[in-house]
Amino acid sequence: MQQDTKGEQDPHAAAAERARRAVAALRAPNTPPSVALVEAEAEMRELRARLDSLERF
Amino acid sequence: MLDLPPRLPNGPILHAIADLDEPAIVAEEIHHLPGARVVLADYDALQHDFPILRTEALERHNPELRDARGPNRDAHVRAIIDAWLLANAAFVSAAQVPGSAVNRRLEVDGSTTGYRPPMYGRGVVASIRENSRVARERRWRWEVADGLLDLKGVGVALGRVPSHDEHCSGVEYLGVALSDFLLKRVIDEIFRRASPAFATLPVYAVLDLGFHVLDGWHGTAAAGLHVRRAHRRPPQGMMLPRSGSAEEGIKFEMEMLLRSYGLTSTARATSLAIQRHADCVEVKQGGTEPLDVGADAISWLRALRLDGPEIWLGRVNIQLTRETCTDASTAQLFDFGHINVKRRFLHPVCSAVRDRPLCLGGVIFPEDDAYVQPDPRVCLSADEWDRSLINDLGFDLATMFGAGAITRNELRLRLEAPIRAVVEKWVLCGAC
Repeated sequence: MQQDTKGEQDPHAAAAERARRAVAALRAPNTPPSVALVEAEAEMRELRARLDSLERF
Repeated sequence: MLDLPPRLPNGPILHAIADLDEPAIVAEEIHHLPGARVVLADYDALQHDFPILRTEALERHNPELRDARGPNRDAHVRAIIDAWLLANAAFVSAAQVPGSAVNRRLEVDGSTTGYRPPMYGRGVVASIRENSRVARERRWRWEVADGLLDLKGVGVALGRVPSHDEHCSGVEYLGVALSDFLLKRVIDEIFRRASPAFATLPVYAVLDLGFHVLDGWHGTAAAGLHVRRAHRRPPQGMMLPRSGSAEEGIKFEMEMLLRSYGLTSTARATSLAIQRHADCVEVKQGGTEPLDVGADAISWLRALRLDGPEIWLGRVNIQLTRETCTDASTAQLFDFGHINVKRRFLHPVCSAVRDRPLCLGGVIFPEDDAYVQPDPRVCLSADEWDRSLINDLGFDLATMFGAGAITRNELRLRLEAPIRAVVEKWVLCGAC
């Protein structure tokens, strides 16, 4: 981990570390594994169509 | 202050339409716009990706370049590359030419074939080799070679009528193309310092197309075009990863990295408003459009504590090129139109996946330790970087450029001034 002379972590390295920790938390069991997967293709296409529309926000 | 060496993602660099690997790609006629101008160009990226644009290659075809020296020589090289850009990228789709609610009838001076992959909306890919078959009088010369350019803002597909309905104009305001470029550039600076495995898709140039978008959401103003490195997108246009995939993790990591800097890809339009009324849970996309939600999804939302009186759930909307699916080190972000800056993040955020109800992957809540807030040492100021403000900057610069009040160099200096201020802030706090 990058640190400066005062022993503080470089802010950019700290940002990268926080991002990695968040991904690890995403993988933690806050997503119930018992929910059945559903066919979400239609929903996905709907979302995809909106992904390009966000320039107004 | 932008003293780190520039870095270009390796690619892949695609050379022919077949390299796009899009079986459903559609060929269509696109027309050349003689009044277009180059506003911004990344000459290093162009010379990196197109060897025919390197100085030694241009010298072979332009004797006057061999005699030029110093700054004069550089100016010659840039003038030739500008001419090459206009010859190969200043196009508009056939549907845009006759005129519509979006633009007046356009003057064109030749046509070639453009290729529109599925889900490309207002973009096409142009082939340099095919463009070379169009005979056009020109001062400068260059080799004919394979190569592709991705053109965003070229117009709607054949058979469609441009309109100001959502996603239907086919064109882009030059001002927005400039603010997109500004966001791309500041994200480049972030990735270079914090996460070198990440990159943005190279943008070769921004063009002023020489006509106006009429009476759109920003009124009447110049139309612009993004000229980007051609790239492969996920198969069949499926931009959402499977849950548990490496791609899901990369997208979430990129979003969380950007959040330390105040940036986010989540937006109201793709967020879910989850509202509980008595025993009923209602889910609305963007807070307005009710979604048909099954019992499984309701029970899941309850298990996730997402069934309060009203909860907004942000969905990550990071768009990456196809190779990210197989090699995380090649993650290239494209499309910056929806990126915005926040002072603080208030709502739960989830990864977006294609194989779960509501496209809902994992969730992190504001009260979680892992939830990322802007770091005051490095974050972008919302007072300067709010999307509406940088759009205003882009529109102002586009207007001044169109009126001849500023040069290209002045435009670029003013556009990138906010980046210089951010880098100075980083240096002051002891970061690079």
